[in-house]
Amino acid sequence: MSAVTARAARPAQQRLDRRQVYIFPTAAGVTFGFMLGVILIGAINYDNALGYLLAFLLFGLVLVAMLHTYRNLNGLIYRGARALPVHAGSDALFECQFENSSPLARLALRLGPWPRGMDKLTRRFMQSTHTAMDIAPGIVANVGVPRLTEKRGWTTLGRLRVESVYPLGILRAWAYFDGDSQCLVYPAPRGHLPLPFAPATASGLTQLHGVGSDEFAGLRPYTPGDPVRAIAWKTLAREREVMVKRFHGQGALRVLLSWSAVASLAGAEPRLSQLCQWVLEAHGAGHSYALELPGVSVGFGHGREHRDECLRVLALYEAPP
Amino acid sequence: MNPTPLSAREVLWVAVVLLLALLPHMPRFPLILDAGFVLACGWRYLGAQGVLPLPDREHRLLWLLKQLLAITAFVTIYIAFRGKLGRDAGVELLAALLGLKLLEMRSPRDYYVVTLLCYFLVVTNFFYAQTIPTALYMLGVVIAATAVLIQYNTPPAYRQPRAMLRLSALMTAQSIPLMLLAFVLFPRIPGPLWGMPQDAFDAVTGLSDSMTVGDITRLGMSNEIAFRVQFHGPEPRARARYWRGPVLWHSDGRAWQVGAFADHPAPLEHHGQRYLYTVTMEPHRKHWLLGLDVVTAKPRDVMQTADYALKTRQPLRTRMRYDLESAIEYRMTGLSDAERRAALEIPRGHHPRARELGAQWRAETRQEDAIIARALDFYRAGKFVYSLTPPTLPGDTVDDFLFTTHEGFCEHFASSFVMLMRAAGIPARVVTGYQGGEYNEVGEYMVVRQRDAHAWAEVYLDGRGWARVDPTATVAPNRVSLGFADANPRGAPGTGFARDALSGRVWTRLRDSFDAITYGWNQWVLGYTTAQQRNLFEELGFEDLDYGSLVIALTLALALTTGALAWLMWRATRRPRDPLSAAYGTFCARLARIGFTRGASEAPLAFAERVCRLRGDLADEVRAITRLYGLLRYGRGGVDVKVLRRKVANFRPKRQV
Repeated sequence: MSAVTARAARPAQQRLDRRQVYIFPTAAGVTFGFMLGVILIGAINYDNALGYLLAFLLFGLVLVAMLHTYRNLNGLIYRGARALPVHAGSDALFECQFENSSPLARLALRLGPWPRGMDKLTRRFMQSTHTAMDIAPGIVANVGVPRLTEKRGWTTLGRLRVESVYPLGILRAWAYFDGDSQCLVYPAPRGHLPLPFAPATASGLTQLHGVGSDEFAGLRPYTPGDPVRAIAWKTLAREREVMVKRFHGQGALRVLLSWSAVASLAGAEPRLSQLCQWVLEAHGAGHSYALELPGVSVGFGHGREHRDECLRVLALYEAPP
Repeated sequence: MNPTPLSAREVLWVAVVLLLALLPHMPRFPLILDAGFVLACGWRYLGAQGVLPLPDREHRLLWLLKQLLAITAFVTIYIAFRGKLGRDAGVELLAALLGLKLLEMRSPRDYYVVTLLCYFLVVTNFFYAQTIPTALYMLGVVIAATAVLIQYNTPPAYRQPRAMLRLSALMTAQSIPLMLLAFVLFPRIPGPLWGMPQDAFDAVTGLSDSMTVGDITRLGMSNEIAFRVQFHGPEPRARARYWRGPVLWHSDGRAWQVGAFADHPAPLEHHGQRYLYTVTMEPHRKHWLLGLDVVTAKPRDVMQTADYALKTRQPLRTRMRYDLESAIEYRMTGLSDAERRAALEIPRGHHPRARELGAQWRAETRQEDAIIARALDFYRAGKFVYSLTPPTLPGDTVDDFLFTTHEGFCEHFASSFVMLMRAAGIPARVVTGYQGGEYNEVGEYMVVRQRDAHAWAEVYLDGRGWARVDPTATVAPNRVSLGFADANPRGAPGTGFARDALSGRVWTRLRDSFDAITYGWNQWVLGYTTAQQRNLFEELGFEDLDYGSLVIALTLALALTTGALAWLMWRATRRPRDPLSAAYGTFCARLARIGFTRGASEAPLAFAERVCRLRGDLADEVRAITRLYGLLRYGRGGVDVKVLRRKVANFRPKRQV
């Protein structure tokens, strides 16, 4: 996991106890109660002893179901969440960690974000987007909770809600987890301006020092056409994509991504989006690039870490008024 | 919620539970309805498997077929009940709707509705039978229905039928104590809250206010229990066990009716043995209660008619228990003019030959005893036969029996005898009731069955009052001394086993045991009504318990029991603690109290040395305990944890002053 997520390191874990678990009948539960009432009234009217017994057995079942539904959540431990950075507009996937320290499996849990101050309709929608999970006894489970991002910067997971209607579906137990887990949101890559290559030479293209040297310069993602021997096999296991080894002098170009280069765009966000787009393009093409914003700058460099650093700067940049 | 279509397995289980809940109803339903129901279950299952299409809008033809099925079901029910919505029709309608709902079951909501209606189907079965086997079977159905609910909420990877059934059974078992508490404590409101359908309680047999010749024969075929009696003290001999029911005065030539006279009983002098006993009467939807011959003391809410029959104010809708005192030797005198007239009345135009015979006896002698003796001789000499299946008497019921068929049941004998007496000028009436009763050795009580129903005569003799004459006893003395079954080798039910002595005894023993259980069940479960509830709490010392206190008691009891269940569940899921760690933990806790807290990574030996350096006085004990702990934890055995536990228990360090 990259360094940018370190901020969301490890919040204090939260263990559910009886004061935090709420319980209420579901729609099916209300129907169940109605049926119970009809059976009881029938038993009274017909003086039917077995009718009474059945009504009371079902009533007892409701109480027992309450204990079982409640037990399904009680003692569940939330150990916080982490998320890899994403670009604004796509879903941030928070990996929430839950621990089941009891000897019983916790079944049919449903988990989802639960921002405060929602109207009823949104809430119903939120409930429908919950993620299902089952946690075997003694297991730490990671569950991905998607959260839509709108703006760049830090996005907080906020309040999480876990609920379950197991085992009878007539009662719903739920609880909230509050954590400060955050996800870094890069600007949305947008813009059509061409890459502004550094204007160092007349041709507009500056070759890096050490032309023709075979000094290792880093890795870049594989693109069709790359020679097979350039593929970095050793890193294949580590990285998610196939990487190609790059050496200085292999057509690496210098690109300066500066605030002035995007001055033609109106507003800070479109500019940052364009810069973000360029960073991705330059990284993809294996160019060496630098970022210059009013007040912050990142020197020339290449590679994954360099890219992430640039993106992080873009994500957190506070544009001058 | 879950929009995925229901899997074949989910559908199968719902269908199975539905069929289980309906199974006891099936023999009662029209065959076509049963067939339609099984068809619907099969269709839905195959539909879920994808073998057959289901009736939805895409399959017009099938959709029409379903409508046709629905119409057939409703028409069948309508025709069977001619549009009257009673209990039977209601149950069939519910079953038909459920079958159709099963075909339409798509969403989770449908699934829940069908499953919850299964519980409702269970209760409909109780309108027909409330026996122990019914209760046990239905408990099984409830467990299965609950398992179906569990299945729906269990993620597919965890759906093992046995595990789900086990959870369902566990939850049901946990509900049982709550059920029992609620059953005892829930304030019982005497029903009914509204009018009941006509057929709510049919198939209840028993004596009625009138007797048409042939009625008791029908009862005679029934092994059903009429009432049970528990004697407190001596019991009357078998031939004296006449259980008095409605007394019949008026006849229209075929049917007998009770008399309507003053409500205060006739003067009575009783002597000799008195019998104390408790009767548990089965509900029969009539007002009559039964007591041994003449009741001399009774509870306040039991009424007594002028002719010493017992009645209740409300029809007997539930089983009733009451205490009585009776005498079998007594003088019942006093006969008003109206009563005398009624007791001498012969319906106009009926029984001419009996009238003639009676008048002839009267002309021959004026002595009442002699006339009675003649009448009994007449039965004896005329080769009269006591039979369960006498020929029907389409003409004059008395004359045809007396002079043609000579074959009859007790009501034939009693009614013809009364008519002969009346013709001879002796006031007479018919008494219906039961005669006999068998002793249940297991439960130590007496059982009187419907087949013990009997009718006899009472004649009014000047100077002696009403006297019982049982003409049946003259013809079939065994009927009275041995009881019904043994007097009737022909067509008597339930006696096939009794032939061989040993198997007979085993059979009797088994039947007695079963009936004793049933008796307890009837008394404590089915008979637990408003009055029983009040009695129970009075016996426990709570007089005048009102509904409010019952509700509070119920709430408290349920809360405590639920709390206890929660505690048990919590304890069951807690990991068992290692006894060795527990003992060492206690040791550390005691040291912590005097200021030595063991560090998180401090080894036991290092900890012990630290304590010993500062507290030389504790050194021996601390070292011994630590060494023992080490031996137990890492040694090869041979030492018992108990030794450590005892040492720790005796280790009570004090702070240094």
